[in-house]
Amino acid sequence: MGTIGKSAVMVLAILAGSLQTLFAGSGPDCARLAGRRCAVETATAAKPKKELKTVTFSVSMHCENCVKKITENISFGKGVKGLEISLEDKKVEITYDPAKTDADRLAETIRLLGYDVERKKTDDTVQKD
Amino acid sequence: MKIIKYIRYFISIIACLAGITVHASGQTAAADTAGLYGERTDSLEASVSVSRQNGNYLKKGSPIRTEVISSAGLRKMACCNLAESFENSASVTVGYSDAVTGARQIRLLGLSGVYTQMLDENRPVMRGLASPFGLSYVPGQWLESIQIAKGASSVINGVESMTGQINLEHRKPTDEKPLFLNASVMSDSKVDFNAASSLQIGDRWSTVILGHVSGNFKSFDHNHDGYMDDPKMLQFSLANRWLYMADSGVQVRFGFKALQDSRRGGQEGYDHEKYSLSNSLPWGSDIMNRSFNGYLKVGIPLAEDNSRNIAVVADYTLYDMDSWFGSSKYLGRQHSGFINVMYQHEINGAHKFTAGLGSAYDMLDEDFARTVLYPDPAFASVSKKGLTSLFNAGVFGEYTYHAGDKFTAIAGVRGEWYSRDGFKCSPRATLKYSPVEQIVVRLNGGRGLRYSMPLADNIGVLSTGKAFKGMFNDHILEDSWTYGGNVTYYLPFGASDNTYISFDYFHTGFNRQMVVDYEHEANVIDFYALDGRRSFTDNYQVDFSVEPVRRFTLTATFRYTDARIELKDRGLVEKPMTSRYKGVLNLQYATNLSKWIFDFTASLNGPSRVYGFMEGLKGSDGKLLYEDGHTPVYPMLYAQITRRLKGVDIYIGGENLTGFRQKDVIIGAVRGQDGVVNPRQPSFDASAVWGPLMGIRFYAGVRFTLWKKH
Repeated sequence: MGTIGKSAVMVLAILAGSLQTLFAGSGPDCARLAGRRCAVETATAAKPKKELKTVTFSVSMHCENCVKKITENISFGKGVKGLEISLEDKKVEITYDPAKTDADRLAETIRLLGYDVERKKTDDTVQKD
Repeated sequence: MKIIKYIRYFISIIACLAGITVHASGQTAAADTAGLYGERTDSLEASVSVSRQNGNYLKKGSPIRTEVISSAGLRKMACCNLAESFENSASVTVGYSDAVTGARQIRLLGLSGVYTQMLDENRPVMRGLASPFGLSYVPGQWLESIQIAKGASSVINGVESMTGQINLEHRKPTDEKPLFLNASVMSDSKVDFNAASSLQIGDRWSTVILGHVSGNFKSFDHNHDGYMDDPKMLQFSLANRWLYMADSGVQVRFGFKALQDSRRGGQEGYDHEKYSLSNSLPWGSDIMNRSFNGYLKVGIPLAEDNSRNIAVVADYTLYDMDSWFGSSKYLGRQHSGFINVMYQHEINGAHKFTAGLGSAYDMLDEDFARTVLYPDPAFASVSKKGLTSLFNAGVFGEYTYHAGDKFTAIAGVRGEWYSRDGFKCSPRATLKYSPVEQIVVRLNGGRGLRYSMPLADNIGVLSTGKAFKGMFNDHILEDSWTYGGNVTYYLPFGASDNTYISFDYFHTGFNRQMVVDYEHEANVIDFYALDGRRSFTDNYQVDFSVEPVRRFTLTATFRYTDARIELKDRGLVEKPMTSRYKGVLNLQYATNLSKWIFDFTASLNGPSRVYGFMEGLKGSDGKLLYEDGHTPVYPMLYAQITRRLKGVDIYIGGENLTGFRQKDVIIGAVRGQDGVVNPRQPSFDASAVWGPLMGIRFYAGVRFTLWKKH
């Protein structure tokens, strides 16, 4: 295999390495933010049962593109554990970890994407994990 | 503040409407006005589904059997270019034109891709000279979706679609993604970079800029046959598309695409200026392709509810191909024009018609000269220099009748004058019947016509040492009829409402066809008209798709093809180099919120009949390579893992994991002392490719998307 081939393999190895880091670092903040926050997360992790909440918003969505945009932006938000979107009902239901985010913050994130957001229901505690 | 809010509201409605248009602009028989106004009923389908998008699926509302490869499907594999996007599909088979140039060709319904009309948002593309490398010039990352419509589809975009239409939907100007970047690298040193930027300027204007650079800087000869496994290449392309939407409902779309690609294959060190049949310098191919495309689409509503509208689509492509293969040269320049002017009237919910004028024009300026070592000097040297014009123009009409969601009937006809063949009439019809919601039955049939371009349609013939005989410089009007149907049953199980099993049957028969016969005489490729002989294919396909548990999808599909052709002095034979069947199994699992996606695809590729001259070929072990005159059945495996973070996707994967490769792909009776096949002999043939040329390959890539914030 030539030099370029070797370099390609090296690039792959580096990318694979980065992936591994991602695999390992479910809480990358934890590694960087030493101290209290990290301790909280560790404590949460140690406690197997964690309360999650769910909130439902009425959102001014019109089509699949809006669904896509909201899905892509909310799914990876901090503390988001579940997402259900119904275009028919113009409804976005988010399950989240109240230790990491809250309903107002989630509503603001959707609003920043260019939609009108109205809270439909108060938060319910939905599940434990 | 309230005004700003309303403006935002308005922009999002416009963006969404454009999105619906995108979803609707598939090329079904009830095609929208060339992607300008998409009020087809099946677009409503988009407003029901919400969950994660399937990769490949059958479009439920479409009157024609239409398979969609969604953006999720396009992300399942490395998908560096369009050709690779079809690996998940059994309907479309992808192969190589030869073992030298890297040119890819597809087959739909068992017939060459030249019989499938390629559309870019309902504008015909990849015509004539632009077809041999066309599939390599559409970066997969530029695309939003691909729709494969089988059979005789709409007459609106012309009747060159004999086996079907493949429509490409690019990223849209209205996408709220100001920046998209992608980079990937393959273990064989192929690198691929893509960039896209969709920008909205005020309420009316939006644009998307698309850029692509790819290269293969190092080529390997893993099988040590003295010929590079794939060509060294460097490709640049740039496109810019604009959309203007006036308050009056008028829509204007225009854009351009420019590309340049250079590639060198064959033996290392080929120099076309020095190569001759009398020296012993390396043989190879040296190709430079350049192209420029510009288009304009204008749609004008004539009624407030857009029930009547006029649309104009104009497209121009300049394609320049400079190529050398050993001591053959083919320098070609093609000017292609396409224009469609149409009027659409939706009388009421039940009746709709479209009528219009259309024309296509190709002017080909060729400089072709080929010298081979063939005993008869009359055929050892052939050439052509000069201009060829191919032109057709005429009228078309299409009437659609809807009886609710249960029944749709579409009748279309195109009457056109062809510059070399006079007036031709091409009727087409489509029926869709859904007696209950769970069953959809589709039938369609009609005529297809296209001018053959023997050398461009069969670019592989240049990678041989064989003599050309017959009509290789002629352009006959190929004439076929395709009919067939599809039954889809939606089944009441699975985690989604999209569990189905579907059966297809399609038949294509030719009245006129350019036959490229490798078997008529030894060391000769004979080009002749079908001339009353028979040429037909029968295709059967089963598709099954289910999501057994949430976020786990399984699709399985199997295609069987019986392709036959009556060759001169041989009678009716199985069409050579056409695989009898292909089965594809695709599994995808995504974790909650699709943070991890695991894809696995396995395909089983059936046997093809090899050319007569390959039947006696022996491998290095002295055994016959093709014992019963057929190629072996081989599997292909693909796997990919994608990790998704906010705005960033990272993926690694592998292709052809079993490492299966076609053996002895370079054919020739005489070998040099080093065991390398001598290219200076009439039996030399690097175009008899039926299987993978590259072994196992790994790749890694990253995609970055920046979403628009308000």
